[in-house]
Amino acid sequence: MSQRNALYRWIFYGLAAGLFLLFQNMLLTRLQLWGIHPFLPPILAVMPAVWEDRQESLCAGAVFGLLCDLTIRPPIPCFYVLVFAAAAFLAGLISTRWIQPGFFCALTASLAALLLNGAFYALVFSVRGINDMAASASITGRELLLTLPLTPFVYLLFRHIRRRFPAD
Amino acid sequence: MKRFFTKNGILLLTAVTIVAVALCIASAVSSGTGFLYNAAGVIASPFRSLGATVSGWVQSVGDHFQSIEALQQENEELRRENARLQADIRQAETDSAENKKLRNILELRKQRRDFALESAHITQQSFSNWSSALTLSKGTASGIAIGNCVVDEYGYLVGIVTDAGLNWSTVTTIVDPESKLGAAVFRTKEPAIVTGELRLLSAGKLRLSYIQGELINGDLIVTSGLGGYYPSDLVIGTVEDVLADDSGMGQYAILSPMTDLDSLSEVFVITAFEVVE
Repeated sequence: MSQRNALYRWIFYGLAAGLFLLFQNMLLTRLQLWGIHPFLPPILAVMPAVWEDRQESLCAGAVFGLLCDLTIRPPIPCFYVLVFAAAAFLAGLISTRWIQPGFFCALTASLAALLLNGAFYALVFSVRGINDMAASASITGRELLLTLPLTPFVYLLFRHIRRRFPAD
Repeated sequence: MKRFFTKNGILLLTAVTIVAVALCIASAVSSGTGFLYNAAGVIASPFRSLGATVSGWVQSVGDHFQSIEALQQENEELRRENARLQADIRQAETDSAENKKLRNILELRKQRRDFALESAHITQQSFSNWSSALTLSKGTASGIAIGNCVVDEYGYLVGIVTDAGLNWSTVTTIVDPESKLGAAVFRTKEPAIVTGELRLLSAGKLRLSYIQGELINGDLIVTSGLGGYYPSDLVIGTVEDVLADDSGMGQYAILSPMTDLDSLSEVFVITAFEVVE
């Protein structure tokens, strides 16, 4: 029962992520404020790590990153594999060591994932000779302000899946 | 499931890492679009088209509610512009006849610009806030190749094809931080370089560097065509502001692109060109 639940849970996590990606593609990329649109993928990559096993979450983050690398044009090959695997690992640490799994844990993990995404982009650009930290910080900040308010929607759907297919 | 991951988690992670590294190497070695990236693009293509159709429908519903006053004002502006353009055409006809006569006297070849154009729909706007790219509904099967220029319906430059799969292609727009083009000031024909910048990306502006002559606000900037990679005289944008660079010795300009990247739904890829000056 527990094994079957876990399998269903991961399938539904995947479907939920797909749904939000479709929402991102169809609507969010066209909703611009301050020249920026909300960017959900880092949040989707870390959300399962709030409740799930750290190793499983890391694998899921890497697989989700690979899918993003193949469908979104990354700045370097495997960019999202690295970012999302690292973000999922960090989220796993947050939920197991620092903050009790729940909304605040999800919010903190999302914040960390978005910051990590911005930091990796800034790093890639600076390696390529585009060394503009102020612009990078500005984009990251605006992205945070626009994306974090959407965390509750992602959290609620993932929590519903978690409750519908419990671990025990 | 947990047991499976505990037993095989490291194995899975290793497999994913190997695939990731293989992708990195494959991408670094090949100059074109990698096989996996191409295949993923082909699979994702119908979903992108579906997304574009739905969001286009939502946008068209929103457009219905545009205020009448705004449309009247736009109509008035268009009437004024039309009158100005009519005057320009009359002048151009006189100039053209004079030009033809002078070319005949000097026995110069007739100027010619032949473009092979392939129309394509935009199926995906920029997904990331750190770059500016468009995904098109056509690819190598329609003759589109990496390096092709992309223009809008008015002939204004949109960007360059940087990835091309079987039935999809990616256009890096002119405002992308990594975009770089040889340009010329239309009025003076002086060469310069147009680049995208990270700090100008959100505002959708460009930077014009290595300026040699005097620039004035409103100057039209076009592609230089030097080197023969891109056609010449494709309109990039207009000079919005001329500023002193960090050293204080030189100057650079902020350009406003002529094309409206946010409202594009269809573009034209220049798959082949011949320009005789």
